Amino acid sequence: MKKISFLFILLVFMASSCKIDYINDPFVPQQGPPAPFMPQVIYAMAEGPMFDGRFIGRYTQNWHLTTANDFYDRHGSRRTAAQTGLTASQVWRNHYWSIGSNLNQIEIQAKARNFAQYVGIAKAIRAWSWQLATDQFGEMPFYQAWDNTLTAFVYDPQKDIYAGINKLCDEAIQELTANTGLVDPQIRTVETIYNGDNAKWIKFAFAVKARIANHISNKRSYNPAQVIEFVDKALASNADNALVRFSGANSDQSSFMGPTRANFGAFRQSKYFADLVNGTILGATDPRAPLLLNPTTTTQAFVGVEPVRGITPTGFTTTTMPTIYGKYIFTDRAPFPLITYSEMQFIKAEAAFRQGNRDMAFNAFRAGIRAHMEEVGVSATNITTYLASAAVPQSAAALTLKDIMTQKYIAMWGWNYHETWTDLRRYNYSGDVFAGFVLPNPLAPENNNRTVQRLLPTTFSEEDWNRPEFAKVGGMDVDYHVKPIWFATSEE
Amino acid sequence: MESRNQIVQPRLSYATGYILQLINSGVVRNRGVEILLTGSPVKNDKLTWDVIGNFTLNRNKVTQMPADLPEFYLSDTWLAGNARAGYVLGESMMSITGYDYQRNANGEVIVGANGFPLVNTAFPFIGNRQPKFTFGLTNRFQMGPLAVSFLFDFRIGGDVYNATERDLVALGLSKRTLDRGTQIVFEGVTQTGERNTVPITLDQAWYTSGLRGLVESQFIEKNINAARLRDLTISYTLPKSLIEKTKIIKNLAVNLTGNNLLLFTNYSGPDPDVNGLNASARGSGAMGFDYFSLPQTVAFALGVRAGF
Repeated sequence: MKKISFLFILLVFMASSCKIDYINDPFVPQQGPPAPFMPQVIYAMAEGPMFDGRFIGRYTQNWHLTTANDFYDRHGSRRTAAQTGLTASQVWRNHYWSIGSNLNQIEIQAKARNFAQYVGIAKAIRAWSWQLATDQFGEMPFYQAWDNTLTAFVYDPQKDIYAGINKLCDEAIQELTANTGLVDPQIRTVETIYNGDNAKWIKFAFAVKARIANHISNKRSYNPAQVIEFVDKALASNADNALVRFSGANSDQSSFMGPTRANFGAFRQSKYFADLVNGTILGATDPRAPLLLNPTTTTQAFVGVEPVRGITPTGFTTTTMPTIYGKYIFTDRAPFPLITYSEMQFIKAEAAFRQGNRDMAFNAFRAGIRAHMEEVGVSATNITTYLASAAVPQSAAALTLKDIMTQKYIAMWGWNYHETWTDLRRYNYSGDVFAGFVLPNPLAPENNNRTVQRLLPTTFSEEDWNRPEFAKVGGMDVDYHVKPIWFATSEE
Repeated sequence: MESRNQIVQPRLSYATGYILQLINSGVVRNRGVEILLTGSPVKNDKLTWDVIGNFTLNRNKVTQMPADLPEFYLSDTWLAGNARAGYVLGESMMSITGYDYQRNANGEVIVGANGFPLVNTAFPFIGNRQPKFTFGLTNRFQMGPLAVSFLFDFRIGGDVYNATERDLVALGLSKRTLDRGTQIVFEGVTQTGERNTVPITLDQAWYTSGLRGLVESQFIEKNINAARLRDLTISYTLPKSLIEKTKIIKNLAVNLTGNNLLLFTNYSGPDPDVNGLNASARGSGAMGFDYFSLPQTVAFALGVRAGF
């Protein structure tokens, strides 16, 4: 045996840390002109409300699933329905990401190129997006939003968010009115809502101001004169309606509400809505019924599903009660409205009524019905017949708040369930304000007989990664969805 | 040694304006040792025997969570069922977090009134993929023109998440489902602390439910050891007398190499040293996540080396 030799090497562990640097790869540009960001923003403006409408539409009784005992019918939340992820929270994701982050880029890139118009439009869209989102979720990270140096985000009160929306609208109006800077020739093709028409975007910004000024109707600070002032500067005819358009050429370019995307196959219109237009509640058949709904194949009647009970008690089946596809906005090509002239007139009617100005209220009320009927294609004769029917009051003296809110419900049905939900929450889901409206029975057990006030933000975003802050506003409570939402309360 | 400001990619709140975010955060403490031993037990004219041993041991511990988040996971590793590479304060960076049965302070399973165990869905710590230590041993023998060398790799300890087995159970293809249809009383205590006595049937509903028979902690295989013949090479240098006649080639050697020829392991799947993702995954990656992952391949190579 020869000598044995050993060598020892002892290595103590080492580790390193690195700071991240942006990759400057010429083939992967990190910056670009504002135009290519715009189409995604506009699509997301429709996508959020369309996605979440499947759930909000059940709270507002626009439609229901054909199966019984649905948790959303019963004013439950995603949590009580044991669902996770993005369910009923697409608006949250779109607000911060698809819309918000792209608007940030649009503003930065537009300022660098002196395209002031983009900045004004971006502010108007951001104001609208905050309004949609906070009315759906209540408290949200506002002051710290889009600060990606942070890892936790404090929730701000809705009152602050509302003030911020007003400020954004004012800045948008100021920017678009001043109309300085250069015009990007591409804006007409990429900005497909108003094709870069500043005057219409100014009206859009006033419409958002009118909405939030009217949402606080339960507060002492509610100012109907101001609401009316905003409405008068907002959308002035159906030609001003803010629409997101779809070519329907293929699945990618088809509306989420249409048959190709196939998201409403398990839904049917509610009995409540069917009864509003088939004469059961208002005493006269509505000429919009065949334009908005499909009649049953067997009886040619307009019927619908009651909340919680599903299709079985109606006596129809999923075959004999047709889906809502093919009518109104439920086609591949139909544009999705974001705000309409008709909605503005109903807001004006409500504000004027609360102010005591019956004549103004009556005129706006009739203008609201007429505008919606023209929008959906009712003939002039049928409009006149309906306006003279028992379904609507015939004089300013006979007008009630119930008439206004019920007709608004009909005109908002199918697309503006966000605003309908806001109205229902302001008026405590009352059948005295919405003719024939009945709350479902029973509500979800976690509700303790309280109605739903808000949806939960995305699980991935807030429950997983922002939990301590979310918990501070009660987000982790099993009944967070019934926590009162500021705009609907009397609290200033 | 402490590693501060690890590069991590949490999803974060969408209020960042983004879905994913790269940040520098978190503190991991590493303590480890690596020892390399070389020796020549035999060295004479006829035979040379060289030995190289390489011992590695590492213990790491997350001492501060990234961004002080209560829970942190690598979302890419959430690839099968509800188990993922999660960081838990005070545990290894190679932890697995996932669904487990609810347990009391003594570690006993808590069983509901219906006889089924209750499930903890808050992603508790259920396993540590870090081996206790690894050891590589190379032996090389040179006998004149013939050389033989082989490397044995040993791995002691560390857990593997066998998600393949979990899928096979759900499909009724695993041996674990042989007792299907039998009635058992689950070993555990009720919520009030008494012994569970309610019988349940191990039926299809049991074996296909993520909250019953497919609870992820049941598919963590603990303390996996492995010995692997990583490679074996035999080379033979042809006698010079034979080569010189060619006048062109000065020397010629042939060699035969085989990789992964033998594997001895207590792991029930094909190979414990797999990665459910590839090397581009961040953090601790998906090492030890076996989800229909291919075992390391057996390969042979025949080589000729010539000198001119």
